[in-house]
Amino acid sequence: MRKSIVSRCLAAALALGALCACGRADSAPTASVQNVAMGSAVSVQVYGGREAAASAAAKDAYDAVQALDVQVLSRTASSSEMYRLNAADPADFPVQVSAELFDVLQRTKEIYSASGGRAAVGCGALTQLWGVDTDEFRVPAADEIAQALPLCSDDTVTLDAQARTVSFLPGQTLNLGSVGKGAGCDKAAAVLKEAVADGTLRGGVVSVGGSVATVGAWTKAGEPWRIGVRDPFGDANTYFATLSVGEAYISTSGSYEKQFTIDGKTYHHILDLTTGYPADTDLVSVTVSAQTGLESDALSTLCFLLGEQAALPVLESCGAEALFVYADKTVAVTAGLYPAVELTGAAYTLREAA
Amino acid sequence: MKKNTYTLALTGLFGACAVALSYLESLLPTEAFLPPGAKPGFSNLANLFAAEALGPLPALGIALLKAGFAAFTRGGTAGLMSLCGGVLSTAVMLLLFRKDKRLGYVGIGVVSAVCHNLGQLAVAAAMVGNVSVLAYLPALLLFGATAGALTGLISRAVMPALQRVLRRK
Amino acid sequence: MKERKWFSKTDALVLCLLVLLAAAFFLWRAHASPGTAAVVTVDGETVLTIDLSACVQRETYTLANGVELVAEDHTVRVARSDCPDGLCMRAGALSKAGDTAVCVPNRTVVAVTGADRPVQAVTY
Repeated sequence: MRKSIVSRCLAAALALGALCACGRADSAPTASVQNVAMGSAVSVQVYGGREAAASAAAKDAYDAVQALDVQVLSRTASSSEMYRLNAADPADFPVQVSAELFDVLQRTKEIYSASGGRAAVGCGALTQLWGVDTDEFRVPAADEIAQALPLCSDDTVTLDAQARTVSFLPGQTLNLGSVGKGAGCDKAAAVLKEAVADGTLRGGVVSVGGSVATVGAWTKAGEPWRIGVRDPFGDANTYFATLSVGEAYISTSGSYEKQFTIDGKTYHHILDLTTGYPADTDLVSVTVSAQTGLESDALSTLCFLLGEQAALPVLESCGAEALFVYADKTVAVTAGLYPAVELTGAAYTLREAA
Repeated sequence: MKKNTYTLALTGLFGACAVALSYLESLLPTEAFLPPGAKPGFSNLANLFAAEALGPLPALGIALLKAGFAAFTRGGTAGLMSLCGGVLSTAVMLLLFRKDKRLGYVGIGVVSAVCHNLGQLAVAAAMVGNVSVLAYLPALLLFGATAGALTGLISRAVMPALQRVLRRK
Repeated sequence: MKERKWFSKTDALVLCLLVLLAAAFFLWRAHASPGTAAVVTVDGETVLTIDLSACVQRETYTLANGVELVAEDHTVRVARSDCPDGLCMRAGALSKAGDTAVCVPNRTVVAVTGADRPVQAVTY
C-alpha cells in the first residue's frame, strides 16, 4: 500500500520533470543585444550556435550599426561624415565623400527620384523648420515654408559617381533620417550573414528603430520568421498583423510615430516637399519588404507620400512588396506579400493592393 | 426545539468568531511576506469546529456569513470568491469528519484549506474568463497546506474545551 | 469509535504530496523561458498584445477599465488598478513565459507567453 503511493509520487514528479524539459523551447534566442543607436532602440537577437560566439556576433552586429551612425550618417555627431558634409563651406563644393556615404546618398536619391519631388535627400531645411530632427515640433509660418521649399529639392543635389563627390546649394542641408535605420539594418545583417555562413549562428533578426532585417532561420526546421506590424491605432509594441518571411528587410513609415497637436490640429512627421506640409493622405502607415534595408526604408516613405496606386509601379520596379494601412482600418497588400500576411488585430479588413 | 435554539445560538456565536478572526487577520501585516492572494485563514477554525460539532447547516451558515462579511468589507468579488471557497471547503470538511477515519485534524485542516483555495480560483477563473489564473495555484497550495495544518492543530487543541461547553447544555 | 488523531500518517502523506507538487512547480517556473509577449485579456477577450522582446523603453498602457500597465526592459506589470485588494499589482513585474497577474474585480488577466514566440520582431 505504502509502496504504491511512493511510486505514484515518483510518477507525478517524473511527469512534472518531463513538463520542465518541454518548457525549454529550442526556439529561444541564443543571445540578444538591446541598446540605443541612431537615436532609436536597436535590438539584435540571434538563434542557434554556442552562446559565447553567438553573443559576440550579436554584439558585432550592433556595433556595426553604431559605427555607421557615428562615422558616417549621424546628423549631429561631429565625428560623422554627414555632419562634416553639411557643415562644409559651399566654396569647397564639390566635396569628396567615402564610398559608403556616397552609396547611401546615391541609392536614396535614385529611389526618391520617383517621388515627383515629394521626397528628397536634400530636405534638411524643412525638417529643421518643423523640428522633425530634434523632436521639438512646431508649425512654421507660411513664408518660412515658402523660403525653405526651393532648398528642398534633389535637382540641386549633384552626385558625381566617377569622382565620388557631392555638391548642393548653399543653405541646403542633406538629411538621411528616413533611410538611416534601413542602412543600419543592412550593416547589421551583413555581420549576421557572415556569422551564419561560417556556422556561428543559425540566424538572427535585427531591429533598428522598427526597421527589421532577418537573416538565416530561427528554428532548426527553418520555419519562416514572423514579424509583427505595429498597430497604428494601438500603443507602442502592439501589432495588428504578422508577416511570415524568409530573409527579408522590412520597414514601416507611419504617421503615428511622431505626432504633435497644435491648436486642435494633429500633424505628423512625414513631410511632402511639394507642399512643405505633412503629407495629406488617408494612409496611416505603409510597411515595405524589399531587397535591402535602405530600399525598404526609402520605399516605405515613398509609398506613404505617393499613395497606393502611384506607388505600385515603383515597388514593382524595385522588386519590393508593401502593406498599406488606411485610416478606416482597411489594409491593402501587394500580391507577392498577400499570402504572408495574417491579421491578429480585430476590426481590420484585408484586400489585395490595386 | 430547545436544542435547535441552542444550535442556532452557537452558530451565531461561532459565526461572530469567524468574522472577528477575519477582521483581526486583516490587521496583520501579512502582505509583506505572503504570496499574492494568500491569507492565514484563521477564521476557518470556526468552520472546522462547526463542521465537526454542530453539523452541516450551521457549518454552511458560517461559510455564508463569512462570505457576506467579505462582500461587505472587501467588495462583491471577494465575497463571491469567499462564498465558493468557503462552501466547497466546508462541504469537504463535513464529508471528511463523517466518512474518513484515516486523516487527523491536521490532514482535514490541510485538505479543506486547499479546497478553499481551489474554490476561490475556480470563481476567479470563471470571472475573468481565463484559465491562466491557475498560475497562482501552486503558491496558494503550498501556503494553504501550511495554514491548513496550523488551523487543524489549533482546532484540535481548543476542541476539548469547546466540547465541554457543548456538553454543559 | 476511535478518537481522531492530531496528526496521522495519511496527513503526512497529503502534506508531502502537496509540498512535492509545489516544489516541482517552482522548479519548473525557475527554468521558464523569457517572455516574448504579454497578452492582456478582459472578460476572456484579448484586448492588447504587448511585444516584450522589443520593449526596452518604459511604456504605459491604460485599458478601458482603468487598469494601467507599465512595460519596460522586457517586463510588464500592473501599475494601477482600482481593485480593493491590489493583488494584480502585487504580482510585480512579469518577465518569464507563464507569469501571470490577475485582477478579478476588473476581469483582467495579464499573461506572458514565451514558448510559442508569436513574433520575433515588430516593424514600426
